Amino acid sequence: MGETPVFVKIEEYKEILSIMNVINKKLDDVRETLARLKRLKHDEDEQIIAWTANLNDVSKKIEYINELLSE
Amino acid sequence: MADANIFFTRVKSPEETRKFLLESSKSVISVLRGYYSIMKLREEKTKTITMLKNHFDELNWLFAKLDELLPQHSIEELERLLPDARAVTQKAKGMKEFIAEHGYKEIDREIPEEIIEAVESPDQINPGARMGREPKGKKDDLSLAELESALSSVEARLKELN
Repeated sequence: MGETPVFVKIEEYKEILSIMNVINKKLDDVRETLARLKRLKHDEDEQIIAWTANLNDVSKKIEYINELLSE
Repeated sequence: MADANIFFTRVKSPEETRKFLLESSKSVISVLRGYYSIMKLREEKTKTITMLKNHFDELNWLFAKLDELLPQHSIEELERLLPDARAVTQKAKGMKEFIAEHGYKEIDREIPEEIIEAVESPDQINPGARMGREPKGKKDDLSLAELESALSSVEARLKELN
């Protein structure tokens, strides 16, 4: 339809406005849920980083014990 | 009786060795504790993802509903079905000024039947114009195949617009 104006029945126009309202609210909900998901993912990543640090720590200690035992 | 083949070896700094062993054990227990916390996080994440999917399902339905309410026909089709529409539109343009000058008064004039029919059932004008989505009777769960078919339908319509 390009630049040509189109006309919508008033009753439908009101319905369109109310749907737009609901869509905007829903988009806010989506934003909020995504932020929550991001936080959860961050917490999970932190946990995995902690696991890696623990593993490195244990590896060093076991290596040291190994050296002590081999002497 | 003691076994004559038993040998003993010296462990240098046994306290330190024991300390390191205990610390390693502590680290492993802390990893195991982290396992429960990560499982809890994942459970919460699954719930959040389901919630997100529901939001998107609702948005999809709302977009389809909006698409249904917006005009579905081209201006050429409208001009063919409603030949007087352009003239009426021209008149309507001047109507604003007229109403501003003279005020608004309700008029009693019958609208031709074919115009009412054309406006109330736009599907008859362009039945293929609607999206592949179905806003009536909201569906709870769309299968992947249905989603792919809806997506290709939307892409085809976008191509038409471009």
